[in-house]
Amino acid sequence: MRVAVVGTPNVGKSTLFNELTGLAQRVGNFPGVTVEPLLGRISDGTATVELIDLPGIYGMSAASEDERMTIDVLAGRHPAIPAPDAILLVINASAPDKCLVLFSQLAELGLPMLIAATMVDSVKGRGGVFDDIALGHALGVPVHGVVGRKGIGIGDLRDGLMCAEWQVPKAAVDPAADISARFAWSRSVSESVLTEGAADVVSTRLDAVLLHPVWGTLSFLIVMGLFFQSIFTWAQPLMDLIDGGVGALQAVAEQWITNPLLASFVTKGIIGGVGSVVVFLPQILLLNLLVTFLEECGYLARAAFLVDRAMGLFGLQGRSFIPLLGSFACAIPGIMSARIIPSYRDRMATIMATPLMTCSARLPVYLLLIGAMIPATTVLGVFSLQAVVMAALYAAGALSGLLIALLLKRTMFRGGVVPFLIEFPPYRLPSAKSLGVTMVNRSKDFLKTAGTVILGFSIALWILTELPRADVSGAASPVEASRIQIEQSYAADLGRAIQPVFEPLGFDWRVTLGIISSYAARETFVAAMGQIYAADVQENDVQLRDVLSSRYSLSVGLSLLAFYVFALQCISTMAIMKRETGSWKWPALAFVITFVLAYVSAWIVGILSR
Amino acid sequence: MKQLDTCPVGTRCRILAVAGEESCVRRARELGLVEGVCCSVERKAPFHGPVEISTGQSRLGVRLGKELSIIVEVIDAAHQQLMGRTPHGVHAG
Repeated sequence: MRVAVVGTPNVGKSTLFNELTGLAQRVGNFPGVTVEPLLGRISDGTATVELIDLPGIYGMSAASEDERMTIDVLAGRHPAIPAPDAILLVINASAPDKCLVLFSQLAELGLPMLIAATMVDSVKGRGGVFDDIALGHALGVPVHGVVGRKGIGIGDLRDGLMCAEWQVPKAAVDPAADISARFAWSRSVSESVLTEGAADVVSTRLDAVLLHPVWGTLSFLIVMGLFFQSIFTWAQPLMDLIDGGVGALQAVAEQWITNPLLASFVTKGIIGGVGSVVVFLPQILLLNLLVTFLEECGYLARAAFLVDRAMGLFGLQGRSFIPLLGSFACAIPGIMSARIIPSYRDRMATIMATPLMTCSARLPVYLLLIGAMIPATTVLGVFSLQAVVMAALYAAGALSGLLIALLLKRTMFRGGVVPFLIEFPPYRLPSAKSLGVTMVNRSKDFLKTAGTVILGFSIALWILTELPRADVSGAASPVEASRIQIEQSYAADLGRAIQPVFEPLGFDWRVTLGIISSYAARETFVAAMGQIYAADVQENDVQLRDVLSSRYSLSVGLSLLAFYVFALQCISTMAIMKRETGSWKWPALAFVITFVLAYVSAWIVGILSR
Repeated sequence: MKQLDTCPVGTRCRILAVAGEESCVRRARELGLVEGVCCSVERKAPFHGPVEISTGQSRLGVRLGKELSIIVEVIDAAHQQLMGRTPHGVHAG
């Protein structure tokens, strides 16, 4: 049995879905679907119910891609996703008006239905009463009160789903009724089942500060500050731990494998290549955790309200802020979250700007190059020069992204600024389980990429650098042998063949090879440099950044940094862009724009710093 | 009769008309901004940003413009007291 989980936005639908299905979830893989719904299953051993988590809607007319999918699936006219057999409608017990308007429209579909009323605890906590039985009688379908965050009522709801206590609701209003009539009906029902308690004092008081013109803006800046601080500092211990683990694994592999070629393949090609990327897992998780937390606790909607005016300067709206912020973790979830923008033009302009936000994959490249090239001195007595350069790189990326969005809004996506209309959900503490489930699923996605695309690329890179085997019998030392090997490899041929393109920037074939390998994923640059200079690192017992700092001039380092700020070097991002925009035209355009920007700025930086 | 966003913060008003582009008007209505409903202007974002309004059970951030305009009439506080009730969507006290 297939059950569609439907509700208005911000009713706690995702939390409920995570509580119901836990880790028994997967991303629905339907051909030609741009918005991937989550599928989850619950089973009692004999029967299985498959739940499909559809994006929130307010009614049966769509304002965004997300909503269109939900409506098409419900109406049974979606080309790939089969129509559901029943609907689980999630409503907000503390504010049922809009939910009941949606119910009145869903009732006309004639599908069996079950209702889960969330936030019954917040009604009770404020001294109000929500009568789920009376609501069930009024609507003609069973209503289960639940508290998703605490797991209360989840067992009963699961039993209700399994025991097929489904009923087709009776028609609520005349199908021809307009929205005013539906609201009138919904209010009359809502008044008969809900006795409202005191106003939500917590939300009112928090908003008095968080939406205040001065304190609100200040709080926003502090939240953003903490957001970035956490990426750099809190993730570090875990990253060091993973780094140490990778090193230990390589040492073990070196001891056990006697064949030198095989040992090199396992330690450098497999463990080293994948390890250099897996080390960013803590950062990616932390960032995703923070974005999800801010979204679920209700702050992101307020932040969008606060920055709407500022985003308006770049022709975007407050909602564009969410995908752009997410892109600082990774452009992929950022591009996907652009679906919340109802206007097509705003959505496209936002998507084109996301690759320029400094994603966490650029971070290892920045860290390596800044560590190698920028002296660890302080400026103005307090600021570390390295941190200042890092902040400048972030600012340059964000500003250029916004300017590209503005340019596109003025040219290709010309059109009026679409009104900004957003609902402020009440503040609430996100469910730990729901956050946990989201994190586990994100890690699975990331490790899957690391285990497939990046492993494949790492192996390819190993083949390029270690083959064909050079004659190293005349070499005086292992380092000499290693250098001869690299310089006679396919990689060197490839780097030398493409190097003339980067000649004006002062990049040699080794850096060129690093840049080419970055086109699979930026962080591969670090792995590639690591492989190319592995011998120097081992021989001199220094870190990779020390090797780079002795080999390249400051000017090359700065040019490289400028190049990495702008270049769109991520096949996964381009694939997601294609999927979300429905055409290769957009990723191709983004690729060209960012390459020109990267090349020209690297060239200018090179000239200025020489 | 005036545009909602020209009302000062704290004004209680009743919606007379929602006009503009069809999709925007529909979304505004789905969010509860329908004719006859009372709402109040809670806050305005700095630098002529969007306004926050509360209506019924929800609080919304709205930026009005030529795609969406909401025409309201200001509810006279004295009139409300005379009628001995508060308009729908505004909590007593």
